[in-house]
Formats: sequence, C-alpha cells, structure tokens
Amino acid sequence: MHIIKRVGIAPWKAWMIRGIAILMALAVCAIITMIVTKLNPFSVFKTMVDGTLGNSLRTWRTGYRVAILLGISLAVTPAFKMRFWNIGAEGQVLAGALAAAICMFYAGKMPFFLNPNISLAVKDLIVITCMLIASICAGALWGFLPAFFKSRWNTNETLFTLMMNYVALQLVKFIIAYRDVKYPWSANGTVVGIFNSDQKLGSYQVGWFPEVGGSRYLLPIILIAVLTIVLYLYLKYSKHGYEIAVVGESERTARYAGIKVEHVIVRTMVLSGAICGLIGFMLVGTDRTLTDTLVDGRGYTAVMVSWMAKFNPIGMVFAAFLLVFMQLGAKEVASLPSLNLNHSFADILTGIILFFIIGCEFFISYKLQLSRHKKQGV
Amino acid sequence: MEGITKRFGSVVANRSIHLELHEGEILSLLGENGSGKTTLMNMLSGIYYPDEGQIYIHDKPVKIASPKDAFDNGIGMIHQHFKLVDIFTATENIVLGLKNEGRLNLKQASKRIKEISDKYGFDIDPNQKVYDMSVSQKQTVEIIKVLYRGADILILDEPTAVLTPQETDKLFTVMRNMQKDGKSLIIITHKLHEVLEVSDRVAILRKGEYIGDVLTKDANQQSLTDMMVGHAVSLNIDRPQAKELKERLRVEHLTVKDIEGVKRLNDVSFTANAGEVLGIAGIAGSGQRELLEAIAGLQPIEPESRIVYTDPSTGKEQVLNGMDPLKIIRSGVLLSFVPEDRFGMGLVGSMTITQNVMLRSYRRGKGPMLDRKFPKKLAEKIVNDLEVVTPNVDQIPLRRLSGGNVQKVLVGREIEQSPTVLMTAYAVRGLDINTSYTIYNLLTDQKMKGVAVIYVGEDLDVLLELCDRILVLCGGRVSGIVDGRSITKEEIGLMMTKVGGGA
Repeated sequence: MHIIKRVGIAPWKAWMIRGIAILMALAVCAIITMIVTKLNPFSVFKTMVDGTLGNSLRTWRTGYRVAILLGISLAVTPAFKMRFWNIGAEGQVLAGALAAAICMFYAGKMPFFLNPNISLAVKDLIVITCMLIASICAGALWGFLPAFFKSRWNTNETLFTLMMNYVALQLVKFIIAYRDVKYPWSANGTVVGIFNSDQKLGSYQVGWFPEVGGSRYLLPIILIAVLTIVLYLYLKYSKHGYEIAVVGESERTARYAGIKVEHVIVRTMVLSGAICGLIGFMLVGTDRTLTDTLVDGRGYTAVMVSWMAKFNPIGMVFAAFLLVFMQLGAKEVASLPSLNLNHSFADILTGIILFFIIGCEFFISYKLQLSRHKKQGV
Repeated sequence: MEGITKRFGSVVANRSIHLELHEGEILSLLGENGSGKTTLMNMLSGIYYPDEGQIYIHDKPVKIASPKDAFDNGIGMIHQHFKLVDIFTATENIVLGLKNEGRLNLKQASKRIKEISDKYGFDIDPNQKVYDMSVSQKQTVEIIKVLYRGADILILDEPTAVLTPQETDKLFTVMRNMQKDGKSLIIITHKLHEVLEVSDRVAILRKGEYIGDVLTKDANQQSLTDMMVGHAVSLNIDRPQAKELKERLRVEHLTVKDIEGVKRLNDVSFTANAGEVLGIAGIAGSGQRELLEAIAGLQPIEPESRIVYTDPSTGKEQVLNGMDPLKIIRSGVLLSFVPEDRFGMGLVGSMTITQNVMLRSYRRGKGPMLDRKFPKKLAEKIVNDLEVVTPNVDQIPLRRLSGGNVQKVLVGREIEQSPTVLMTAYAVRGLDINTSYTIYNLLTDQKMKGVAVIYVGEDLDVLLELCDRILVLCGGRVSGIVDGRSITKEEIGLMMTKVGGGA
C-alpha cells in the first residue's frame, strides 16, 4: 500500500470526504455510546440537538456563541495568513472587553448619566461610542506590542502573544477585585454583577446593547456577518490582503517586490488586535458584565477554527458552528439527569468528532493506493 | 524498465517508457523541462510508484515501493537538492538512518568512507561539518552516502548545475572511476557538451515518452537537440550591435559587507550602457548575487559606494544609494531584476500566474482594492508570447509548473515592466535548450530596444556569444572588464581565479 500525495483535488470531492468523515464520526460515537452507557445513541444525539437548537432561546444563544467564535477566528486569520503565529486572541479580546467594561462602569456613576431627564438614547450614543473606541484601541495595543517587538528585534511572537494573554487576564482579575473607595467593582471581590442594572437610577441600562428584533443576540450576529464578508474581501481582493499573502509565503520575495515587511506585520497585527477588541466590546455590551471567564478559551479555539477552514472566512462559519454545536450539545448531554452522564462523556464525543474531522484532511491531501503488482516468480 | 507509466491526476508524466541500463555504463538522460526525466528516476529510486509497468534488475522483476527497496536493490539517487543535516559531520550524515549492528561506530565508518574516497578519487574530510562545506563537497557527501549503502546503480539529477567548470571535471573523473569499477550511472543534465563528454549512451525523453537512444560517439549537439525538441533548432545566438550606447547605470566603489562584516564586494566600479548586454562572469559566490541585490536596493551598501542612474528621457542623474525597492519604483527608475532564487525571492510558489505577475504592479490603480483585470490580461499575454505551458493562469499554483515555464513567467513579468535596466541572475539555470534560447533572444530584443541588460551567467560559452562586454568578478573584486567579441574562454577562466588574470 502506498501513500500518494494528491495533486489538486476537486472541491466537491474534498467536501464529500469531509461529509463522510462526519458521518463516520457520528457512527463511532453511536457505537461507543451503546457499548459504554447502554443508552440509545439516538437519544444522546437528540439531546445534543435539543440543547443547541431545541427552542428559540437556545437557538439564539447558539447563534450568538457561533458569531463570537467566528469573530475571533476572523480576527486571528490575517496574522496566520502572514505566518505570524498569533495565539494572543484570548488576551486581545479580554483587553477590549476590559476597556469597554471600564467605560460602561464609570459612565454609570457620572452625574450626567445619572440625570433621569436625559434620554437613554443620547447616553447610549455617547457611552457606546466610547466603549467601541476604547476597546478597539485596547485590542489593537495588545496586537501592536508583539508585532512591534517582532519587527524590531525579531522576538518570538508565539511566546509574546501568549504572555500578553496572562497580562490581560491578571488585569481583568485585578479590576474585578479592585476596591475603588467610592465605587467598588464588586461586593466580594469576585463577582461584578450586571452593570447599570439598578432600575431606580438614571443610569439604568446605559451602555447595554439595544435589543434588535426582540433579542439582544441579533445585533452582534449581524455585525459579525458583515465582518465576515468584509474580511473575506479584504483578504482576497485588497492590496493589503495581497501583501499579507506575499509576506506569509516569503519575506524575501516581499522585500524584492518593494513591500515593507515590518510595516505589514505591524499593520496586520494591529488589525487583528482591533477586531479582537471589537469582539470584546460586543461581549461586554451583550452580557453587560465582566468576568475573568468571559472569553473562556475561545481565543484558542479560534485558532483551530481558522486552521480547519484553511483561513477561508466562509469556511469558518461552518467550522465555528460545528465546534459550538458540539460544545453546547455535549454540555447538554452531561447536564441531563435522565441520561446520568457526566461532562467527561461529552468530552469523549467531542474528541471523537474532532479526530475524524481533522483526520480526514489527511485523505484530502493524500490518497492510499493498493499496489496492483504482486511479486512474480522469475 | 519496461512499459512504465505514471500519471499525476489527468497528466501523464511518463507513458510506457522502456529504458535499459547496462552494467558499467554511463547513460545520459536527456529531455526538455517537464519531459518526465525526474519522474522516471524517482520511480527507480522508490519515491514514486509506477501506475503500470515493471522494473527488472539483472533480468529479475523487482518491486521498488520505497527508497529502502531501492537501496536493497542497489539503486541510489543523488538529488538536485541535497538532504543533509548541517550541524553533522560528513560521516554522521552518511551513516544517518542506517540500521546496523547495535552500537554506532563512527571511527569505523570514517575508515570505510576514507576507503571509498580513495578508491574513486573523492576529496573529502569525513570529520568536516556540513555547514563548512562548499556545494561541491556537499554533493560528494551525497554520492558517498549512496556508495556507502552499497549502490551499484547511481542516478545523478543535474549534478553539474551548481558546480564550476573545474568541479565538474573532478566529478566526471570520479564518475569514470566508478564506471571502471563496474557501477552503472545515469546522469540527468541539460548541458549537451557534458553529455557528449561523459556518457557512453544517451536516452532521450520528450513529453513523457521515450524517443530513443543513441551511442554518444554517434551524436553531436545539433542531433541531440533535434531529437529532444522534435524539430531542428538553431543553436546560434544573434548578437547585433546597437546603434548607440548611452550610459544608463554607473556603479562606483561599490562595497558590500555581510552580517559578519566580511566584504562580499570590494570597490566594484563599472558602467552599464543602454543598448548592450553586460555579462558578469565569476566562480559561484564571487559576489554576483550581492552586486545585483545592491543595485536593486536589497543589500545595505557601504558609504563610499555610489550607484548612479541616468534617466533616458530627461538625461538627469539620480543616486540610488540607500533606496529600498519601493523608493526605487516610486522615483520612476524602471529597474527589472530576475533573481537567482526563483521561489525564494522572485516568485510565490503557492500563488497563480496572475497573482505572480501582479507582484510588481499590484499597487496600480487607486483605492484599497486590487485591479484584477489588468494582471490577468498581462498573464495571458506572457503565457501566449513565451509559450508557457499551463492549463490556466488563475487557478493552478505556479509551483506545479515545470522549471522552464516558471522561469518564463518570471522573465516575462520583468520584461513586461518595460524596464530601462534589466538584471538577470542565472536566467537559464536548469532550463532546457529551447527555453534557454528563447530567453537569450528576449534579452537581445531588450538590448536592441535600448535597455541596459546585465546578465549574470555561469556558462562561459553563452557569455561569450551573448554579451557585448563581460565583467569578471573574483572574490568580490573586479578582475577585469573585457570585450565579449574578442576575448577567449581561457582568458576569462584565468581572470575568474585570479584578479587581473595572468598566470
């Protein structure tokens, strides 16, 4: 048997292989479920679907989580296309979220915003604009620092971006525990609670994202849908996108073509960070609170989404949906008392599905050929 | 090899090839780029597996499904690109991957390597680290590696492409020694005079098919070329004289230091004129690359250097010192550069022809978006004009095209910029005769259009036929600037090894 590298594969064939991989993954999941738990595998699958798309609230929540994961995946993609190993999305999103939260929190304490005679729309316009700018700047700064050091002193971007995650995380933990003499962030130093949630005060709901179409989740979903298209166009059809691709392939070729490599690295990472900051802003605006688990590892999951989709923004929509569906579905399976399973079982199912999806890429790049020639006698 | 067929997708790389190699013979495998020579040899050495056909060794059918099978059958291949571990010594590289009797005995291995070297006339120090070696020494290690594993059949894929004439001679001596020892050798090369010099028999492939074989003593350059290309080809380079010569580029006291502070170029001065081809000759690594890159703004230069460009329309002089490539483009200097390292510098292998053609001109047009119509048209024009063989211009990655077609895209793009200075480094390295002549003619056309052409080459015969003047570099210094029409190969050869020439 031989392993042969495929030279170009028709897209429909690649998708067929991926489809088969998912079906096989589900089949293996079903078999494992039957053997280990003696449960009907279809009831487990049904629970997963129920948990993610079972009713309109769950569907909205799933859609929102897909949107956020997709947004972060989009943010890291320009850097990856440039072969800049940015694993700092976690920190960049947190930095953006922190900046937005600070705006929302302190605005709610100012006399102007406490004045009940000024309409909420005016207050929102001011606060949300501030949040937006602050979070984009914070995210961009978190992206800029590693890129600047990389382009100046050729520091290792992987380590640098990783460290920046911890800096952001500790800052968030610090501010949550921060006992501001006048306005303490939290009563016990661990939980902040919903910002501007006191109905008696004039600052009620200041900075909250407006509900669109009857759900607070619709606005971020729309924004990220737009972002997906914009980023797709940016990477594929813009001069910047072209420069990113050339720098990613070969820095020497880029220099030869008159592309300023350092400049492109910094510009692209600032963009990456800024988009992450924007996602942080959406998280705080939608959740209306700040916790240190706000991003919850999605900055890392996004790296996987981006790679699974081969850096194609449209492909990332599917990849992000798949991962969120599995995570939420698995959680649901684990939490249902009638099934009597714990979270580890859900993790096993997730692992099996991921194994097949990532493993099938091998069969897209290579094919196995059985040798037709048997050893013949003389 | 009998009835060997290999397909890649819908492309047939080899169609029912029948090839014979006799014991103690040197066989040349000849063919244009993309004619399937390397594919065929890869099947012999276990890298590919044939779709159809059977390989026999000493009349016995064998199955070669992996490089290990190939070694077990005494077949060893020396690839164009060496596969050595830089920080290991020659010995360590040679024994690497061998599974044998328990403990690794490097001393004994060194001894055997020494024996092999002495037997065939290799010149090598088994304890030298690979990073300290010249290209030719690395090649020697590769060859010994194969012999160490007991190969009787050696395949050399374009071994001379990276060697100087002297190193090539040495290699040929070694090859003949191996032949005398009863080993069979297959050599792939594009250089016809080498084919005639070293081999006993020549086998010719064209477009994946086996055309035939001739005994070397019955062949000459013209007959081989005709068989290879399929029709008669003229092997002369026209060298018309341009009407007037005008100074276009003047380089004064150019000095370039590398990171370690070693002078790679030392006080180089010359002028390149519009309407002439200025050849640059020298042993590999004498500063050719640094010279072109310094002019193109890709190498930092020392303060005493001056690079002066004369604008053809206004006659104004402009100093290019310290400009990066973008500044040079912006200041209106139309400088084209075909670098030596195609995929490392001139092109992007994973991108399509259109995207590669854009590399120089993507800034055209206002706004942040790319203009895609113009590059596509340009790509199609290059493909048509230079007969680039490709299924399409905007889908297939460039890396999948054969070397000659890739080079045509690169040269075509640089010429389409309508340059006033055209610099080329080893523009025909690894190309077949037909493509090489296409490129020589293109360069001459450019010269007649009033472009200052700088041609860095390694084949002295070509330099003497193509260039009006030849600058000879030796260890980063100008050894002399001579007239291309009156100088002889021997004189240049002397100047290459010693500044100023002379015995």
